[in-house]
Amino acid sequence: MWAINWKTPYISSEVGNPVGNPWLAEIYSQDPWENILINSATATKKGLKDGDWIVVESRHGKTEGRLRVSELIHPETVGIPGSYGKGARHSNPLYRKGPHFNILLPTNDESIDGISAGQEIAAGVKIYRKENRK
Amino acid sequence: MRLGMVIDLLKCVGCNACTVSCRAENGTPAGISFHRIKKYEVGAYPDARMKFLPLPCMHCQNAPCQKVCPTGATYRETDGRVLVDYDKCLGCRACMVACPYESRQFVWKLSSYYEDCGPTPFEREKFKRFTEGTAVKCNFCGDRIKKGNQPACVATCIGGARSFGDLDDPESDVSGLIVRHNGKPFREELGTAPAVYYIKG
Repeated sequence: MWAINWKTPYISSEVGNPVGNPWLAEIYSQDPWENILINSATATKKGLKDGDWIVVESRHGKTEGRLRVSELIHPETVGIPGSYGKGARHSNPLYRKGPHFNILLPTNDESIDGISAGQEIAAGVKIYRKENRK
Repeated sequence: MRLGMVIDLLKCVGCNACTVSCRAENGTPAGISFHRIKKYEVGAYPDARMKFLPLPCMHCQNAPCQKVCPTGATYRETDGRVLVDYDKCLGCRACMVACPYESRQFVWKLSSYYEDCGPTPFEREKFKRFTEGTAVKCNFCGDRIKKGNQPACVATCIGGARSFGDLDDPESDVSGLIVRHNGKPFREELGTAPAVYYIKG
């Protein structure tokens, strides 16, 4: 499966740390899709259901979060929106909550495109349920 | 006179600027927002769509919250808005159960976000208008409309999706939009006669 990322309507970019803003945090925590999205048919095939706690793992890193089943996403993709879960050391602790997309991406020299220095932004991942969530 | 709102669902992109402007205007404590946007999806892959439903208080003509209020704290103003008198509210929360639109919220505590720092200067000023143990809701920004402005959510909407005005005046913008685009309130069949109409202009 391929991991993909997108911007959410209420956070146009992470400049200035809007993810750490308490007012915006109340808005995005109410969003049923501020989690990890997969297509409903894919979820059924993998034996996962809405609300499961899953791990998304690439060759370079892994992150976890609550699964949300959706019709809005391609069956071969895993969607992690926004820029949650990252957290800089001096940032608001809210910034460290949620599934983190960037950790799935490579940062080594070989992964950077030789002509335009483009980076890999859709890592190949596997997903599985985490049994004892802690 | 009946003040009401028209929201164009085709223009709403779910940015929540209205929600944030409502927080800034009213200074509600942590966990309380008078305005919400419900995000939902329709259809099946690959023809699925994401949709947004902005929900202020509907200021119903036939308001369930007003009917169940034991003290009369929830009352209807002459301009059509449904308001709460905090001096009369005893915090029974019957209105929260009665409202089918989830418009009513309760101030358990005037909470800030950084408890060990105390309220911010902004919160200190805005919290003066709230009383712990009372029910609160959208009031169509009474302070703003008395000065001839529009409610914060209407003025802020970046997509121009919201309009505000007198529903009883056939010449007003809102009346024109409702007629031209066949505007309907949300869950009209509940019979509460809301003052907020939705169109797909």
